[in-house]
Amino acid sequence: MGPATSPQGGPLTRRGFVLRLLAGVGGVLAAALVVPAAGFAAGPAIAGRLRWPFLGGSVPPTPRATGWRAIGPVGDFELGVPKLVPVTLPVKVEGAVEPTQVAVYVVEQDQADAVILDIHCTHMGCPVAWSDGAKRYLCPCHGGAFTATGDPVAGPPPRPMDRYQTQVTDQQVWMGPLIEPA
Amino acid sequence: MRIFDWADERLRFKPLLRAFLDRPIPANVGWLNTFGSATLFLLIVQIVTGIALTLVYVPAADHAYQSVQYIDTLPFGALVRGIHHWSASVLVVLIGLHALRVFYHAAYKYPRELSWVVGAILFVVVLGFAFTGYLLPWDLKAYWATVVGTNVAGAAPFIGNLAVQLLRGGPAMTTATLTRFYGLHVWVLPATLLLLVGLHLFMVIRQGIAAPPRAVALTDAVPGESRRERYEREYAAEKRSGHPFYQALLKDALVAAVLFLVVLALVAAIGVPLEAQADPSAVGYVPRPEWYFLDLFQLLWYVSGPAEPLVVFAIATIGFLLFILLPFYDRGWQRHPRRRPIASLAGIGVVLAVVVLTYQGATAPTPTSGAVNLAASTTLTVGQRAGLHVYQVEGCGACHLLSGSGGNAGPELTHVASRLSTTEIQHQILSPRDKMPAFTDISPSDMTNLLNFLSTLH
Ligand code: HEC
Repeated sequence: MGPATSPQGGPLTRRGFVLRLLAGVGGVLAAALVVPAAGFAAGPAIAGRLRWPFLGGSVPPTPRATGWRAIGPVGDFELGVPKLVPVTLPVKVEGAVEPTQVAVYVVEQDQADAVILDIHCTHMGCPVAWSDGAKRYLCPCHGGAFTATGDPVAGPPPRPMDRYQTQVTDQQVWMGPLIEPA
Repeated sequence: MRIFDWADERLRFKPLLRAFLDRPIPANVGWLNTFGSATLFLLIVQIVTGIALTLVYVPAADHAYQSVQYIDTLPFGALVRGIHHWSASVLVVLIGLHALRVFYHAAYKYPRELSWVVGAILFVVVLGFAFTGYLLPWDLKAYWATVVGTNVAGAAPFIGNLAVQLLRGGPAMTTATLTRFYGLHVWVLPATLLLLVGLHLFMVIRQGIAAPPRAVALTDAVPGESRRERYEREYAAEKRSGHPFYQALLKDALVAAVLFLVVLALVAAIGVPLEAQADPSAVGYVPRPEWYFLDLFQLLWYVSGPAEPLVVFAIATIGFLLFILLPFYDRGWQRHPRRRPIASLAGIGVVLAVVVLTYQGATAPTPTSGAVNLAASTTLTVGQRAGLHVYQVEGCGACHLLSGSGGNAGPELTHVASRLSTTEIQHQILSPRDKMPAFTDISPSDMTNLLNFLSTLH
């Protein structure tokens, strides 16, 4: 702040002193208000895992859930042909657990292996639809296309479709939590 | 009037009122200057109808959609929601026109630079209202447009992930997102808006309405006078030849009334849109934003490649800075549009780009709709027609543009036969060069028909 002088360069007057004091007190009070309010507003956003990538990208909007659930017997799925499966997830949000319906693509690789894919295009998050003719998932927004197992083949998608943890045991396909994009 | 006089005898507000209403404004202030007051009027419409809607609307995912449906059944409910919906669109148009008028008159130049900066922030705040507002009905359009909109924020380097999660209240789109957008839409943004509108109006009243530029100034410059002195002498001359402010208010009122009628007409003619309830598993739904974001949505077609997030972020940031800081790099003293050709051309260029991108966005093909509208399809033979059917069933249109419909992942096929021979086309379909999937399980007869059809595309 430098030596105690008034803006005119003279000695600090009573008026100048009071005004500075007011500015200081006001600043401290403002910070005391804003810090908890802003911290509270950011809370739910930064509670989870955060990434700091140089090249940004989309975040799958699917409601997240923990734990494993059975998706269906292996016999329900055709080898290599994606099947859209509705799944009801127990989603914990705002202090309550809400059953939320989502959909996933299940692709059987062989009797003991399957892939479960999130339905959102990795470009901007639009829902991709499997086309039997083109043998591709096609995105209705900007023309992205993915192979049956989610590898990007055309259009702007920057990364493969997001996957869920998957297990096949006792002829059952099991779906775990979403694997967050790296 | 007695109560008015009674209060004035105590509060002495008549002199203030007179100073406000009778202050002289420049003579040339005309119809173009009504855009600002029209914007203010529409903001008031939004605030009044918005407050009314909060009395019934429930900001939670399990209830929001039903409460909006319920609003539409209440007396005046569909009307109030309709006005709020359509006046938002008209507001976006008017605030854009107001900014254009200020640009056209170069009214952002000395001494009104700060009015422009505050106005430009207000423009962004209004777009923020639009963005947070259209999630609230929690219908399909709301849900998916917000998925895309929040993901655009993810393009920012380093803080992209943080930005998405701050907007959504976590990584996923849930009821937390809805509640957050509601809080932003009815508290944070309105508080910001009122503060900035107050500041903006204070500046306008303190400095007076900018005089529309003249090719020849009213007064001559005096050698050695400061910029401030020069400005004040010219502005005083403008005011001497001008008229009292209340006269301009007549035009303002007329424009406000016409705009309100336009809003009512839109409500009556089109109604209030509400799609099916938001569904996170809506495969097959084609997300499209509200018209005022179509230009940005369309822009995403043109930037692609690994650096896309950076390019998107750079375009957004540079565009915003160029907009908001305009008075600080365009500082020449010339204000007449013909005396500043570069600025005028740049302005026209920006308007054209927005119009063209919006138009393209509005008419953009949806890549997964297999539909093909051939103008000359009537001349196709039966076999070629069957080939067109194969083309549609196999989903070629997902990646290829044909006579104006289809995707753009692959090259346009409208004139493919003038480029490639039938054998070359067949080779491409069976063993593609690069990114196109191979279509090896098309039956021989289907393939013949498909090739017959494609060979008509000259
Ligand atoms: C997943 C997107 C996609 C689908 C679906 C698709 N194509 Fe292609 N196509 C491409 C791409 C990308 C190219 C550019 C060359 C390459 O990558 O092989 C291309 C190239 C072509 C070409 C060569 C055009 C030229 O000018 O070089 C033809 C012909 C063609 N496709 C026909 C078809 C037909 C017919 C179908 C449907 C049976 C089809 N394509 C389905 C993506 C696709």
